[in-house]
Amino acid sequence: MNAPWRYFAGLVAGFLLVFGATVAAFYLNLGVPSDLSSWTFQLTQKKRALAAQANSPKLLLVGGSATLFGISAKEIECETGHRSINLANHAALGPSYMLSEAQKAAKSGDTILVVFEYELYNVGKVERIGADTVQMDYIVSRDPDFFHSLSPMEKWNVFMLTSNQRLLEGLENRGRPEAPRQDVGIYDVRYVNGWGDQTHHAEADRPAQRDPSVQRKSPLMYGLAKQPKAFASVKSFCKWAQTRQIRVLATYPNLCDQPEYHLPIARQTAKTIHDSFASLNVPVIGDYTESLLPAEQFFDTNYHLTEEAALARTQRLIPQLMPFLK
Amino acid sequence: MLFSSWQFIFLFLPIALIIFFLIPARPTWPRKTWLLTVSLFFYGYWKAEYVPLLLFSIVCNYTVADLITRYRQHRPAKAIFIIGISLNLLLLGYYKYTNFFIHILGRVSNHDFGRLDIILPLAISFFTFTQIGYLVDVYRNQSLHYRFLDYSLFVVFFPHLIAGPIVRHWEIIPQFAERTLKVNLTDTSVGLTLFLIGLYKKVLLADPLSSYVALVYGAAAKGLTLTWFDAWLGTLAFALQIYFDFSGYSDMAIGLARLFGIKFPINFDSPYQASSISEFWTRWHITLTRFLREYVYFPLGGNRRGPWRQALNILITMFLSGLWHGAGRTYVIWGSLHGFYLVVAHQWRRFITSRAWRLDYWWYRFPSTALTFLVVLFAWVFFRAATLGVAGDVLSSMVGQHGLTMTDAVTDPAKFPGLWCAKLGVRFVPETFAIESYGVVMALMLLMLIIVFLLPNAQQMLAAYSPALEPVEHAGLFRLKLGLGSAVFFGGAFFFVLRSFYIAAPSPFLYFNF
Repeated sequence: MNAPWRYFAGLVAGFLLVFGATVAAFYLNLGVPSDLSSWTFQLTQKKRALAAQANSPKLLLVGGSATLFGISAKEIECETGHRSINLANHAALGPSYMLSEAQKAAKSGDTILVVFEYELYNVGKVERIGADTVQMDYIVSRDPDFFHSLSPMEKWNVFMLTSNQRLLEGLENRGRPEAPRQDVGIYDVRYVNGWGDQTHHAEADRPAQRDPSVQRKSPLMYGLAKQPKAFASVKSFCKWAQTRQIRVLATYPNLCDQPEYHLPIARQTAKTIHDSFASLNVPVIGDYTESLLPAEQFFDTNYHLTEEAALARTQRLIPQLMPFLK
Repeated sequence: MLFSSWQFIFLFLPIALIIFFLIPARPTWPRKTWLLTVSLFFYGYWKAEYVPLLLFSIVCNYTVADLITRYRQHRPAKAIFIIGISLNLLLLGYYKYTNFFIHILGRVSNHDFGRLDIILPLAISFFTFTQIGYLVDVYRNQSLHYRFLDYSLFVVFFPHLIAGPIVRHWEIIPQFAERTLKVNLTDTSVGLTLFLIGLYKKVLLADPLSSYVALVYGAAAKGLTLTWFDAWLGTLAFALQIYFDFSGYSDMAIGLARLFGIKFPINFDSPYQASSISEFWTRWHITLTRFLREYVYFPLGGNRRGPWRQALNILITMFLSGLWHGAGRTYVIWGSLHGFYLVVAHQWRRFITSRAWRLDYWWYRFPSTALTFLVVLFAWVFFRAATLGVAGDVLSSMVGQHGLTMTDAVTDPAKFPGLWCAKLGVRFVPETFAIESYGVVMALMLLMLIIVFLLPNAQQMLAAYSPALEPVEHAGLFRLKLGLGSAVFFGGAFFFVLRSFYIAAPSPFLYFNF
């Protein structure tokens, strides 16, 4: 082989060598816990346990942290007498994973209220563009079974989206017990009550310096595709629920109000969500504007209500929810 | 289409190359036609509507050059030449400067004239300059008459079309002859290596810094007061980002051309190692400097009419350089500032020469290099800032107007080195913006500074393979041998580029804006 061909062969060999080493590092990382997904994992564990203890019929709240912080299962149970569990977790897990958790928790006769953040409607099982590092970390370190259940393309996405830093960290932590988390504030499973609701986010506990993300714009103002990606998972979930006499409801997530959310495009986004659920025979509770709330009612991000505001929001929701709980 | 995008790397380039190699070398026109076609597709991929504009510009300039040649001995040649240059400047002026002048007019007359909805055609500055140079050469009687296919390919050849190097007809068109336009595995391996070096500079070094630079300058644009530390680190980060971005682009362009057997001129020669601002401009964007020198500075009189006139000529040339980079006051000030630096540097050189001092010692060169880098840094503030106000805010933080400040996100004030910083008078204040890790940014910047100041550049490393048109000066000790070891290294690094495509969409090259 002459010099240029040897050079080209070397390029391919170098690529394959690094590729192979990274694949090996990735597989050695599966199941190795990391700090990034620790809170999410502990939430999952706690909520699985709460759901397992609860008798049916029960109400399960499914969504991201807007629901964890913003709808009180405890208040619903107190007011209606209907057993309620807040299954909400970190939104990074994605709609597909959240619904699969709901499938594990729900039994015949239960009611499931789906409250996805607007971002989640644009998300499939595992997204390449705009993928969340927490989701990748969670799949790799906490749920290898979920990784193995993915399609080859989705597995490839998870592999490619797992950063080198994460791989090195995982190799370093392999075989070591998980280190306790420090300085996590209220993002600790100890602050989740027996109904699965977040606590210790009262107005008085609000951080002195407001996070600029309170003003972050939501995809509500950008519109959604006619067939939002999340509805592939929602559709199969609804089919599954129907066969088991499980009722599925939906509503809009709490969100820090912005003038743009009252423009026609935002109304169209809400209508797309409504129509997509309606096509699956899923009733949608209330209007999206009812969950657009002023900035002073938010704790630290544009989706996280304070405890007081969450209580008020839940009290407004209960009368709308009541007819479906009888 | 970006050179660093997967569409370019995995689809466009392989198809362009394979078909080019499959077309018989003789006659040459089928290969040239193929290159012309793929180059127009490359340009049109961005916005097909502007392909006719590019073709119009080519046809106009070719026709004007033809008329100049035809009437060379007659009076109309000058008039045709002036019309040709004016047409180019009008086109450039309309697309690039209309809104700028409307804005200036509005400010002067205290009236809001609004903005025209004009989209700047990609690469218009580059293809206009390339063709102005050609017209001037034809008028000066330097040029032969080329075939239309050769001329068109010279203008649109995709490796240089978008952001240079600004090539000259006599450098490129003769290379379209059969002798060179053929398959050569050595060319392919050298071209591929240069392309990969450029790609790594852009994707693995420049791009990761861009978010920190955007944070710093974004915070300043929001009216937040930057810490002294962030103002310096952010500006240094931008200096490194723009160098790795643009020199990376140039390496990729030179490499791409070489894949097709064409050699381009060098565009960067380790500019931050320059020990004077004059030297900096012979190493930074070399082909633009060369253009401005030959087609603006020399026609203005250069240094032939005394020191004052030379100073004026330098100032005019650099003012135009600033204006060429962008239709905004910040760019004009950046260019003018460099003009001022150059005038001072020339006066200093005169002073030294008049005293017959010999200063080619390390103890002179080292501080001179540091000073040159420092003044270049100050000028970059204007280049990066969105407005003059933002530039002023960043500079005021840099000179310590708000005190010597940093945040505990950089270092713990109770531990080394924070403790030492505090002892030296650094005050710790609340952070201006949230950044993931200063450690990663600073480690990356340290690596880039080592590459910039201590390592040879891509052309020097590949000096044995004469990568560019000119022979490589100061080849240095470190030479890269295109053997198995280097191939494994470059191939391995490509996997990280591939992963970066997943994590973020490729960001455009900074010089695409110009």
